[in-house]
Amino acid sequence: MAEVHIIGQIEAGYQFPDSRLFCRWEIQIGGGWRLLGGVREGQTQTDLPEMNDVAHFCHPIDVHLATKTIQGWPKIYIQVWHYDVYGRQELYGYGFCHVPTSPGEHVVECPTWRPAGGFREEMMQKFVGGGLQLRSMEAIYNSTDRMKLKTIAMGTVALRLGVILRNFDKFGIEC
Amino acid sequence: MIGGIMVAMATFPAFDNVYCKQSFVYGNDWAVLSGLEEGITPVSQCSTIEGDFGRIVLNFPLEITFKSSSPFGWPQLVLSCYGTDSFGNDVVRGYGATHIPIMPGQQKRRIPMFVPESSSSLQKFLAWISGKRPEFVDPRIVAHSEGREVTRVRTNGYVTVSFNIVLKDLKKLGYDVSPSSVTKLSEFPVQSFVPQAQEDNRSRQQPAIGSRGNEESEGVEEPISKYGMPKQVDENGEQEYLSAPGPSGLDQSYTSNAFTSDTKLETLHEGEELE
Repeated sequence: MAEVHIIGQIEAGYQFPDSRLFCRWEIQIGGGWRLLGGVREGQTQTDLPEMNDVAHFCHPIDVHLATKTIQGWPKIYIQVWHYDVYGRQELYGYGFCHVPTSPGEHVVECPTWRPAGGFREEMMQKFVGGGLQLRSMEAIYNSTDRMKLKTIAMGTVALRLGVILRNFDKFGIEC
Repeated sequence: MIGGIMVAMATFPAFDNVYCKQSFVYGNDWAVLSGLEEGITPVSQCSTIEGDFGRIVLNFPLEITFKSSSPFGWPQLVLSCYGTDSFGNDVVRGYGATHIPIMPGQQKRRIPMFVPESSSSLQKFLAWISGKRPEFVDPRIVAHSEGREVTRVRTNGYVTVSFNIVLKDLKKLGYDVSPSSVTKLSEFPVQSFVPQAQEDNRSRQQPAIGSRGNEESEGVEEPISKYGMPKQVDENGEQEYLSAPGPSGLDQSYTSNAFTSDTKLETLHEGEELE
Protein backbone atom coordinates (compact mmCIF):
# COMPACT_ATOMS: atom_id res chain seq x y z
CA MET A 1 0.00 0.00 0.00
CA ALA A 2 1.08 3.51 -0.64
CA GLU A 3 1.54 5.78 2.30
CA VAL A 4 1.00 9.46 2.87
CA HIS A 5 2.39 11.49 5.72
CA ILE A 6 0.84 14.85 6.43
CA ILE A 7 3.09 16.90 8.65
CA GLY A 8 2.35 20.52 9.31
CA GLN A 9 0.65 23.18 11.28
CA ILE A 10 -2.53 25.17 11.39
CA GLU A 11 -0.77 28.49 11.54
CA ALA A 12 -3.08 31.44 11.69
CA GLY A 13 -6.47 32.96 11.01
CA TYR A 14 -6.85 36.44 9.60
CA GLN A 15 -9.28 38.87 7.97
CA PHE A 16 -12.00 37.90 10.39
CA PRO A 17 -14.22 40.62 11.90
CA ASP A 18 -12.56 39.97 15.23
CA SER A 19 -9.43 37.98 15.86
CA ARG A 20 -10.18 36.24 19.15
CA LEU A 21 -10.46 32.88 17.50
CA PHE A 22 -10.06 29.18 17.78
CA CYS A 23 -10.49 26.37 15.26
CA ARG A 24 -11.89 22.91 15.21
CA TRP A 25 -10.43 20.75 12.50
CA GLU A 26 -10.77 17.29 11.07
CA ILE A 27 -9.04 15.35 8.32
CA GLN A 28 -11.60 13.65 6.12
CA ILE A 29 -10.47 10.56 4.24
CA GLY A 30 -12.18 8.33 1.70
CA GLY A 31 -13.10 4.66 1.97
CA GLY A 32 -9.85 3.12 0.74
CA TRP A 33 -7.77 5.03 3.23
CA ARG A 34 -6.58 4.00 6.65
CA LEU A 35 -5.19 5.98 9.52
CA LEU A 36 -2.01 4.34 10.79
CA GLY A 37 -0.91 6.93 13.28
CA GLY A 38 -1.62 10.36 14.63
CA VAL A 39 -4.80 12.21 15.44
CA ARG A 40 -7.31 13.07 12.77
CA GLU A 41 -9.25 15.78 14.54
CA GLY A 42 -8.84 18.31 17.26
CA GLN A 43 -9.29 21.81 18.50
CA THR A 44 -6.69 24.53 18.59
CA GLN A 45 -5.89 26.95 21.32
CA THR A 46 -7.82 30.20 21.60
CA ASP A 47 -5.68 33.15 20.65
CA LEU A 48 -6.54 36.59 21.97
CA PRO A 49 -4.04 38.72 20.05
CA GLU A 50 -3.29 42.27 21.03
CA MET A 51 -0.47 42.94 18.65
CA ASN A 52 -2.27 42.73 15.34
CA ASP A 53 -5.34 41.20 13.69
CA VAL A 54 -3.91 37.75 13.20
CA ALA A 55 -4.85 34.86 15.48
CA HIS A 56 -2.01 32.35 15.74
CA PHE A 57 -2.98 28.75 16.40
CA CYS A 58 0.40 27.05 16.09
CA HIS A 59 -1.36 23.71 16.08
CA PRO A 60 0.66 20.71 14.91
CA ILE A 61 -0.73 18.07 12.56
CA ASP A 62 1.12 14.80 12.10
CA VAL A 63 -0.83 12.04 10.42
CA HIS A 64 0.22 8.78 8.80
CA LEU A 65 -2.19 7.35 6.26
CA ALA A 66 -2.10 4.25 4.11
CA THR A 67 -4.12 3.91 0.97
CA LYS A 68 -5.01 1.58 -1.86
CA THR A 69 -6.55 4.27 -3.98
CA ILE A 70 -6.15 7.93 -4.77
CA GLN A 71 -9.88 8.51 -4.66
CA GLY A 72 -10.98 10.23 -1.50
CA TRP A 73 -7.72 12.12 -1.13
CA PRO A 74 -7.59 13.65 2.36
CA LYS A 75 -9.33 16.94 2.96
CA ILE A 76 -9.03 19.10 6.00
CA TYR A 77 -12.11 20.84 7.12
CA ILE A 78 -12.10 23.65 9.55
CA GLN A 79 -14.61 25.45 11.70
CA VAL A 80 -13.54 28.80 13.05
CA TRP A 81 -15.12 29.94 16.27
CA HIS A 82 -15.08 33.32 17.88
CA TYR A 83 -14.45 33.69 21.60
CA ASP A 84 -16.02 37.01 22.56
CA VAL A 85 -15.20 39.33 25.47
CA TYR A 86 -17.93 37.78 27.61
CA GLY A 87 -16.46 34.31 27.12
CA ARG A 88 -19.18 33.16 24.74
CA GLN A 89 -18.43 31.19 21.60
CA GLU A 90 -20.03 31.77 18.26
CA LEU A 91 -19.43 30.33 14.85
CA TYR A 92 -17.31 32.45 12.54
CA GLY A 93 -16.78 30.26 9.56
CA TYR A 94 -16.58 26.93 7.82
CA GLY A 95 -14.03 25.97 5.26
CA PHE A 96 -12.22 23.04 3.77
CA CYS A 97 -9.10 22.50 1.73
CA HIS A 98 -7.56 19.54 0.00
CA VAL A 99 -4.27 18.26 1.26
CA PRO A 100 -1.86 19.00 -1.62
CA THR A 101 -1.23 15.95 -3.79
CA SER A 102 2.36 16.78 -4.60
CA PRO A 103 5.03 15.97 -2.05
CA GLY A 104 6.83 18.83 -0.42
CA GLU A 105 5.91 21.76 1.70
CA HIS A 106 2.90 23.91 0.93
CA VAL A 107 1.25 26.92 2.47
CA VAL A 108 -2.45 26.33 2.03
CA GLU A 109 -4.95 29.10 2.46
CA CYS A 110 -8.40 28.01 3.38
CA PRO A 111 -11.06 30.67 2.84
CA THR A 112 -14.07 30.38 5.11
CA TRP A 113 -17.73 31.28 4.96
CA ARG A 114 -20.65 31.25 7.30
CA PRO A 115 -24.32 30.63 6.59
CA ALA A 116 -26.28 33.87 6.19
CA GLY A 117 -29.67 34.31 7.74
CA GLY A 118 -32.49 36.68 7.01
CA PHE A 119 -32.69 40.27 8.27
CA ARG A 120 -33.86 39.14 11.71
CA GLU A 121 -31.06 36.63 12.21
CA GLU A 122 -28.40 39.04 11.04
CA MET A 123 -29.62 41.74 13.42
CA MET A 124 -29.77 39.20 16.23
CA GLN A 125 -26.19 38.17 15.55
CA LYS A 126 -25.00 41.74 15.38
CA PHE A 127 -26.46 42.83 18.69
CA VAL A 128 -26.90 39.65 20.72
CA GLY A 129 -24.34 37.28 19.28
CA GLY A 130 -24.75 33.70 18.21
CA GLY A 131 -25.90 33.13 14.69
CA LEU A 132 -26.73 30.34 12.33
CA GLN A 133 -24.85 27.05 12.24
CA LEU A 134 -25.01 24.05 9.99
CA ARG A 135 -26.82 21.09 11.43
CA SER A 136 -24.62 18.57 9.66
CA MET A 137 -21.01 19.20 8.74
CA GLU A 138 -21.35 17.29 5.48
CA ALA A 139 -22.27 20.46 3.62
CA ILE A 140 -18.78 21.78 4.25
CA TYR A 141 -16.99 19.19 2.15
CA ASN A 142 -19.77 17.75 0.00
CA SER A 143 -20.65 19.38 -3.26
CA THR A 144 -24.30 18.29 -3.22
CA ASP A 145 -26.88 20.34 -1.34
CA ARG A 146 -24.63 23.36 -1.36
CA MET A 147 -26.85 25.39 -3.70
CA LYS A 148 -29.54 25.72 -1.08
CA LEU A 149 -27.26 27.71 1.20
CA LYS A 150 -26.81 31.44 1.35
CA THR A 151 -23.41 32.38 2.69
CA ILE A 152 -21.29 35.33 3.74
CA ALA A 153 -17.53 35.53 3.26
CA MET A 154 -15.40 35.39 6.38
CA GLY A 155 -11.65 35.30 6.88
CA THR A 156 -8.91 32.94 5.87
CA VAL A 157 -7.09 30.21 7.76
CA ALA A 158 -3.50 29.53 6.77
CA LEU A 159 -2.03 26.06 7.05
CA ARG A 160 1.47 24.90 6.39
CA LEU A 161 1.35 21.32 5.22
CA GLY A 162 4.26 19.08 4.44
CA VAL A 163 3.35 16.04 2.38
CA ILE A 164 5.58 12.98 2.22
CA LEU A 165 4.53 10.18 -0.09
CA ARG A 166 5.76 6.65 -0.08
CA ASN A 167 5.60 4.01 -2.79
CA PHE A 168 3.49 6.09 -5.15
CA ASP A 169 6.20 5.57 -7.74
CA LYS A 170 5.59 1.82 -7.62
CA PHE A 171 2.03 2.22 -8.79
CA GLY A 172 2.86 4.61 -11.56
CA ILE A 173 1.15 7.56 -9.94
CA GLU A 174 2.61 10.95 -10.62
CA CYS A 175 1.82 13.68 -8.17
CA MET B 1 18.26 13.83 8.59
CA ILE B 2 20.74 16.53 9.47
CA GLY B 3 19.70 20.01 10.41
CA GLY B 4 21.65 23.16 11.05
CA ILE B 5 19.34 25.67 12.66
CA MET B 6 19.93 29.24 13.63
CA VAL B 7 17.61 31.17 15.89
CA ALA B 8 18.15 34.49 14.24
CA MET B 9 16.04 37.28 15.50
CA ALA B 10 13.13 38.15 17.73
CA THR B 11 10.58 40.93 17.71
CA PHE B 12 8.55 41.62 20.80
CA PRO B 13 6.95 45.06 20.44
CA ALA B 14 6.12 45.35 24.13
CA PHE B 15 9.39 44.11 25.63
CA ASP B 16 12.99 45.16 25.34
CA ASN B 17 14.88 42.13 26.57
CA VAL B 18 14.47 38.46 25.96
CA TYR B 19 16.27 35.18 26.21
CA CYS B 20 15.18 32.04 24.54
CA LYS B 21 15.26 28.33 25.34
CA GLN B 22 15.14 25.74 22.61
CA SER B 23 14.22 22.11 22.74
CA PHE B 24 13.03 19.43 20.36
CA VAL B 25 9.96 17.24 20.50
CA TYR B 26 9.87 14.13 18.34
CA GLY B 27 8.12 10.78 18.02
CA ASN B 28 9.08 7.39 19.37
CA ASP B 29 10.81 6.24 16.23
CA TRP B 30 13.15 9.17 16.28
CA ALA B 31 16.53 9.42 17.95
CA VAL B 32 19.15 12.12 18.19
CA LEU B 33 22.43 11.02 16.67
CA SER B 34 24.49 14.06 17.49
CA GLY B 35 24.08 17.62 18.67
CA LEU B 36 22.56 19.24 21.70
CA GLU B 37 18.85 18.91 22.23
CA GLU B 38 18.53 22.03 24.33
CA GLY B 39 20.05 25.44 24.33
CA ILE B 40 19.65 28.81 26.00
CA THR B 41 20.52 32.10 24.36
CA PRO B 42 22.05 35.00 26.28
CA VAL B 43 19.74 37.72 27.55
CA SER B 44 19.48 40.05 24.61
CA GLN B 45 18.50 43.70 24.60
CA CYS B 46 16.70 45.23 21.66
CA SER B 47 18.49 47.58 19.33
CA THR B 48 18.25 51.31 19.95
CA ILE B 49 19.05 52.37 16.44
CA GLU B 50 16.41 54.65 15.00
CA GLY B 51 14.15 53.04 12.47
CA ASP B 52 15.14 49.61 13.66
CA PHE B 53 13.70 49.81 17.13
CA GLY B 54 12.54 46.70 18.90
CA ARG B 55 14.67 44.22 16.99
CA ILE B 56 16.28 41.71 19.34
CA VAL B 57 19.16 39.77 17.90
CA LEU B 58 19.59 36.27 19.23
CA ASN B 59 21.84 34.82 16.53
CA PHE B 60 22.11 31.48 18.25
CA PRO B 61 23.36 28.32 16.54
CA LEU B 62 21.80 24.91 16.89
CA GLU B 63 23.02 21.86 15.10
CA ILE B 64 21.37 18.52 15.42
CA THR B 65 21.13 15.21 13.61
CA PHE B 66 18.16 12.90 13.87
CA LYS B 67 17.52 9.44 12.59
CA SER B 68 14.30 7.53 12.19
CA SER B 69 12.67 4.72 10.29
CA SER B 70 9.44 6.60 9.67
CA PRO B 71 8.56 10.26 9.18
CA PHE B 72 5.75 9.93 11.69
CA GLY B 73 6.61 12.03 14.73
CA TRP B 74 8.73 14.41 12.67
CA PRO B 75 10.74 16.60 15.08
CA GLN B 76 9.50 19.98 16.12
CA LEU B 77 11.51 22.90 17.42
CA VAL B 78 9.99 24.29 20.59
CA LEU B 79 10.99 27.76 21.69
CA SER B 80 10.20 29.39 24.99
CA CYS B 81 11.21 32.97 25.60
CA TYR B 82 11.69 34.63 28.95
CA GLY B 83 12.60 38.13 30.02
CA THR B 84 12.73 40.37 33.05
CA ASP B 85 9.82 42.70 33.70
CA SER B 86 9.97 46.16 35.28
CA PHE B 87 10.07 44.69 38.80
CA GLY B 88 13.02 42.50 37.94
CA ASN B 89 11.02 39.28 37.89
CA ASP B 90 11.89 36.60 35.40
CA VAL B 91 8.68 36.09 33.45
CA VAL B 92 7.69 34.15 30.39
CA ARG B 93 7.41 36.13 27.14
CA GLY B 94 6.20 33.46 24.83
CA TYR B 95 6.05 29.87 23.69
CA GLY B 96 6.17 28.72 20.12
CA ALA B 97 6.75 25.65 18.03
CA THR B 98 7.26 24.65 14.46
CA HIS B 99 7.95 21.48 12.55
CA ILE B 100 11.43 21.24 11.17
CA PRO B 101 11.04 21.64 7.39
CA ILE B 102 10.48 18.35 5.62
CA MET B 103 12.29 19.44 2.49
CA PRO B 104 16.04 19.79 2.18
CA GLY B 105 17.39 23.26 1.68
CA GLN B 106 17.36 26.62 3.36
CA GLN B 107 14.22 28.00 4.86
CA LYS B 108 13.27 30.89 7.08
CA ARG B 109 10.30 30.70 9.43
CA ARG B 110 8.66 33.30 11.59
CA ILE B 111 7.35 31.57 14.68
CA PRO B 112 4.61 33.34 16.63
CA MET B 113 5.27 33.46 20.37
CA PHE B 114 2.33 33.34 22.73
CA VAL B 115 1.76 33.25 26.48
CA PRO B 116 -1.12 31.62 28.33
CA GLU B 117 -3.73 34.05 29.58
CA SER B 118 -5.04 34.30 33.13
CA SER B 119 -8.52 32.91 33.40
CA SER B 120 -10.01 35.98 35.10
CA SER B 121 -9.18 39.66 35.45
CA LEU B 122 -8.57 39.26 39.18
CA GLN B 123 -5.99 36.61 38.52
CA LYS B 124 -4.50 38.78 35.84
CA PHE B 125 -4.06 41.60 38.34
CA LEU B 126 -2.61 39.28 40.98
CA ALA B 127 -0.23 37.84 38.42
CA TRP B 128 0.94 41.34 37.49
CA ILE B 129 1.45 42.30 41.16
CA SER B 130 3.19 39.12 42.24
CA GLY B 131 5.20 38.63 39.07
CA LYS B 132 3.96 35.07 38.81
CA ARG B 133 2.39 34.97 35.36
CA PRO B 134 0.65 31.90 34.10
CA GLU B 135 3.09 29.49 32.51
CA PHE B 136 2.97 26.07 30.96
CA VAL B 137 4.36 23.48 33.33
CA ASP B 138 5.95 21.77 30.36
CA PRO B 139 6.60 23.99 27.31
CA ARG B 140 6.42 20.90 25.15
CA ILE B 141 2.64 21.05 25.22
CA VAL B 142 2.82 23.56 22.38
CA ALA B 143 4.15 20.80 20.16
CA HIS B 144 1.22 18.50 20.88
CA SER B 145 -2.18 18.61 19.33
CA GLU B 146 -4.11 17.02 22.20
CA GLY B 147 -5.25 19.13 25.09
CA ARG B 148 -4.69 22.41 23.32
CA GLU B 149 -8.36 23.41 23.36
CA VAL B 150 -8.20 24.29 27.04
CA THR B 151 -5.50 26.90 26.58
CA ARG B 152 -6.20 30.56 25.93
CA VAL B 153 -3.21 32.51 24.79
CA ARG B 154 -2.07 35.96 23.74
CA THR B 155 0.43 36.40 20.95
CA ASN B 156 3.24 38.71 21.97
CA GLY B 157 5.84 38.59 19.28
CA TYR B 158 7.76 36.57 16.76
CA VAL B 159 11.02 34.72 16.58
CA THR B 160 12.63 34.22 13.20
CA VAL B 161 14.46 30.96 12.72
CA SER B 162 16.42 29.89 9.70
CA PHE B 163 16.78 26.23 8.93
CA ASN B 164 19.30 24.42 6.78
CA ILE B 165 18.13 20.90 6.24
CA VAL B 166 19.91 17.93 4.78
CA LEU B 167 18.06 14.66 4.32
CA LYS B 168 19.57 11.27 3.70
CA ASP B 169 18.24 8.03 2.23
CA LEU B 170 14.58 9.00 2.14
CA LYS B 171 14.20 7.92 -1.45
CA LYS B 172 16.05 4.73 -0.66
CA LEU B 173 13.36 3.88 1.86
CA GLY B 174 10.65 4.77 -0.61
CA TYR B 175 9.76 8.24 0.62
CA ASP B 176 9.26 11.22 -1.64
CA VAL B 177 9.59 14.72 -0.28
CA SER B 178 9.72 16.60 -3.55
CA PRO B 179 7.76 16.21 -6.79
CA SER B 180 10.91 15.67 -8.83
CA SER B 181 11.78 12.42 -7.10
CA VAL B 182 8.43 10.69 -7.66
CA THR B 183 9.31 9.71 -11.21
CA LYS B 184 12.38 7.88 -9.99
CA LEU B 185 11.65 4.34 -8.89
CA SER B 186 12.92 3.36 -5.46
CA GLU B 187 14.13 -0.13 -4.76
CA PHE B 188 12.47 -0.43 -1.39
CA PRO B 189 9.74 -3.09 -1.45
CA VAL B 190 6.14 -2.10 -0.87
CA GLN B 191 4.81 -2.88 2.57
CA SER B 192 1.36 -4.33 2.88
CA PHE B 193 -0.69 -3.47 5.90
CA VAL B 194 -2.75 -6.43 7.01
CA PRO B 195 -6.25 -5.81 8.37
CA GLN B 196 -6.40 -4.72 11.98
CA ALA B 197 -7.61 -8.04 13.43
CA GLN B 198 -4.71 -10.01 12.05
CA GLU B 199 -2.34 -7.29 13.02
CA ASP B 200 -3.53 -7.48 16.60
CA ASN B 201 -3.07 -11.22 16.71
CA ARG B 202 0.43 -10.96 15.48
CA SER B 203 1.37 -8.27 17.94
CA ARG B 204 0.00 -10.33 20.78
CA GLN B 205 2.30 -13.12 19.93
CA GLN B 206 5.16 -10.75 19.71
CA PRO B 207 5.94 -10.06 23.38
CA ALA B 208 6.05 -13.78 23.96
CA ILE B 209 8.52 -14.43 21.20
CA GLY B 210 10.54 -11.24 21.24
CA SER B 211 13.16 -10.72 23.89
CA ARG B 212 12.76 -8.09 26.55
CA GLY B 213 15.52 -6.15 24.89
CA ASN B 214 12.82 -4.72 22.70
CA GLU B 215 11.21 -2.97 25.64
CA GLU B 216 14.35 -1.22 26.71
CA SER B 217 14.70 0.52 23.42
CA GLU B 218 11.10 1.70 23.19
CA GLY B 219 9.44 3.17 26.19
CA VAL B 220 5.98 2.87 24.71
CA GLU B 221 5.84 -0.84 24.81
CA GLU B 222 6.64 -1.19 28.42
CA PRO B 223 3.27 -0.82 30.13
CA ILE B 224 1.61 -2.99 27.56
CA SER B 225 3.89 -5.93 27.93
CA LYS B 226 3.48 -5.73 31.66
CA TYR B 227 -0.19 -6.43 31.15
CA GLY B 228 0.24 -9.14 28.65
CA MET B 229 3.02 -11.18 30.18
CA PRO B 230 2.77 -14.59 28.61
CA LYS B 231 2.66 -16.51 31.88
CA GLN B 232 -0.46 -14.88 33.18
CA VAL B 233 -2.11 -15.13 29.86
CA ASP B 234 -1.69 -18.87 29.81
CA GLU B 235 -3.13 -19.38 33.26
CA ASN B 236 -6.07 -17.11 33.16
CA GLY B 237 -7.15 -17.31 29.60
CA GLU B 238 -6.38 -14.86 26.86
CA GLN B 239 -9.50 -12.80 26.93
CA GLU B 240 -9.18 -11.19 30.28
CA TYR B 241 -5.63 -9.99 30.07
CA LEU B 242 -5.45 -9.16 26.47
CA SER B 243 -8.54 -7.04 26.51
CA ALA B 244 -7.17 -5.07 29.42
CA PRO B 245 -4.76 -2.81 27.52
CA GLY B 246 -7.64 -1.64 25.37
CA PRO B 247 -6.73 1.18 23.06
CA SER B 248 -3.06 0.94 23.86
CA GLY B 249 -3.04 -2.52 22.37
CA LEU B 250 -3.69 -0.86 19.08
CA ASP B 251 -0.77 1.46 19.64
CA GLN B 252 1.51 -1.40 20.11
CA SER B 253 0.37 -3.15 17.03
CA TYR B 254 1.32 -0.19 14.99
CA THR B 255 4.67 0.36 16.63
CA SER B 256 5.63 -3.22 16.27
CA ASN B 257 4.31 -3.87 12.81
CA ALA B 258 3.93 -0.86 10.69
CA PHE B 259 6.93 1.04 11.70
CA THR B 260 9.86 -0.29 13.69
CA SER B 261 13.30 -1.18 12.74
CA ASP B 262 14.59 -2.66 9.58
CA THR B 263 14.80 -6.18 10.93
CA LYS B 264 11.07 -6.24 11.41
CA LEU B 265 10.50 -4.90 7.94
CA GLU B 266 12.64 -7.60 6.48
CA THR B 267 10.70 -10.38 8.14
CA LEU B 268 7.53 -8.84 6.85
CA HIS B 269 8.77 -8.86 3.33
CA GLU B 270 10.13 -12.32 3.31
CA GLY B 271 7.02 -13.82 4.76
CA GLU B 272 4.47 -11.89 2.81
CA GLU B 273 3.43 -11.38 -0.67
CA LEU B 274 4.20 -7.95 -1.99
CA GLU B 275 1.47 -5.85 -3.42
